[in-house]
Amino acid sequence: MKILVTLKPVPDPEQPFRFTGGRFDFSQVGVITNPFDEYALETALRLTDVPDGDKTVRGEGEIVAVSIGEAAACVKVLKRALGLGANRVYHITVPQEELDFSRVARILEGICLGESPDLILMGKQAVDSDSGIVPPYLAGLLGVPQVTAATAITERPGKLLVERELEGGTEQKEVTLPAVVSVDLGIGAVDSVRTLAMDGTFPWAEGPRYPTIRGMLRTKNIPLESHDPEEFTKNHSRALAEGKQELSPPRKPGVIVENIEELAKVLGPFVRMGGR
Amino acid sequence: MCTTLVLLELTAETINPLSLRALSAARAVSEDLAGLALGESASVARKACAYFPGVIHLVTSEEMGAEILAPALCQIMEQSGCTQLVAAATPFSRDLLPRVAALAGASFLSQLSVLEFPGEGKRAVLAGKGVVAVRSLLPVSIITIEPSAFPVAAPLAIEGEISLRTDPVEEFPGISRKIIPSAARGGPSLLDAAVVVGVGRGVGPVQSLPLPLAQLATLLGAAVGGTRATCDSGLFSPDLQIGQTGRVIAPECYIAIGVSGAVQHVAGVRGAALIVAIDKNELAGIFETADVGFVGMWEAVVPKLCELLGSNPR
Repeated sequence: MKILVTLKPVPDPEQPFRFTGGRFDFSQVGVITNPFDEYALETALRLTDVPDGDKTVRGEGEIVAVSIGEAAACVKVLKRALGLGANRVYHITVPQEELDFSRVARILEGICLGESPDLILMGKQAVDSDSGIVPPYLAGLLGVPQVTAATAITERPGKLLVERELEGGTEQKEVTLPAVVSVDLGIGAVDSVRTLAMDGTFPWAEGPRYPTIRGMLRTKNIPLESHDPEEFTKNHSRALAEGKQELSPPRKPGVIVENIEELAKVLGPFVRMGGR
Repeated sequence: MCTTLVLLELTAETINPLSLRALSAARAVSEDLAGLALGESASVARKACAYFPGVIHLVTSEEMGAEILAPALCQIMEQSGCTQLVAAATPFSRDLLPRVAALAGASFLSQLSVLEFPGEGKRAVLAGKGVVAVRSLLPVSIITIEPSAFPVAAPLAIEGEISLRTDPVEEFPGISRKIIPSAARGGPSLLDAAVVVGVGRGVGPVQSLPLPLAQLATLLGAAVGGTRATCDSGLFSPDLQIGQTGRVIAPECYIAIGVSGAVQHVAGVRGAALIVAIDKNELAGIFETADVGFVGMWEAVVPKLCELLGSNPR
């Protein structure tokens, strides 16, 4: 199986950013791989790992990892992907302010037409923009099946059975390949990815794996390909313009009450208020 | 013909109330509205006639995925001549509508907390720490709104007309889809409850909701959800996760119990009118966000609280 994984560099959400000149300022904030995309890469690794005694090794399957954005940030997330086991990586250098969901999806569409992957794996959303538009939009551009926010994948010959959580139920969707699948954090559970090669045994540890030293050394020998967006799409137009940025108004400072009677006084008006 | 279509998700019994929140967002920017009802039941679709002069009912079934529905919606949008389609952000719309945008060549504005003009509004970013203005650059836009930011729309004194669409659904080979319903739960839903109790890792390694917490929720008519930790541990199903990566809520009152206050959790509750936190760790981050905090063991605090609230109902 050939899998294309998309990795978005995002500012580390655990680090505070500044607000200068009316814009969010991430110059002092580290770059990480979007956590949901880490889970997409982990899913790709699980789908292409094969058993070797009581461990797993990389199998025949190929993982191509792609990152779009500022070169330095892309290089950082792609080096990590190589260390984890991606076979090939490339970055498409585009200034952040020229990107919107439509431009990103058009570039990915062009990449998919050239690479012809069996599966495109993505995170369900990025933790900076919090949108989740690109995966189903890309599936629409490509005219292939889609699953968003997947929490479990079972491989079948030429197909995947994918689960996701809905209001009041679980959707089970069987899709033929090629397909676009975006993943939710549940996909990192120990038994959430079942492949033909692994035959129902789950050696997976909870959550995405970490790069090993041996893995990171390996990355020295693999070239980091850099590409211009024009190689994949002639479409420069965007669908969306971003305007004014603001900080959310802070909540006014709270109080710590010292006894439970005071707490009860605060909650008293809500007793049996019921659903609205 | 209309300028704005409002997507209505129909369940077996009713119009999803979140869709009626999208309607109040749409009413603020457009007078020329039509409903686009997606679901099986004709009698539920008829309920939409109290809200719109015209309702298009696209008869759909559970087996239909976005692959089948997107071309049908695209066709309806083109025939209606609409310039925007407005929907509540739900797992259903977040799956379906970007695909429609791709087919229709439309722009997409997701999870707006403010809709100011057609195709223009504001949305929260960076786990709710920032807000950014967004504007469509294309003639047609698909817009999802953050349900917690808008009220449920009231019906009008009208009886609109229904036009039925059963035909446009084309086959999409190689896909089968079914929904396994989860066990029905009582009480209000997370997104609609006036009061929500959030349960974090601080309640300890419990397999089921501790009785005092259930009792508190009952007293307050509250919905109960969990943090990522308590959803991962299996105490709550994934659809009850409160936070940026789960459900974003904006109740009248949110009560966090044993919640540490991770960035992504706080992002999902900061729209609450009142935040109350109970935790034994006085340094817990949740106290920075809470309006009212109490430092103590929940095992001792909550039963006493229930006793006080139960004996003195207002």
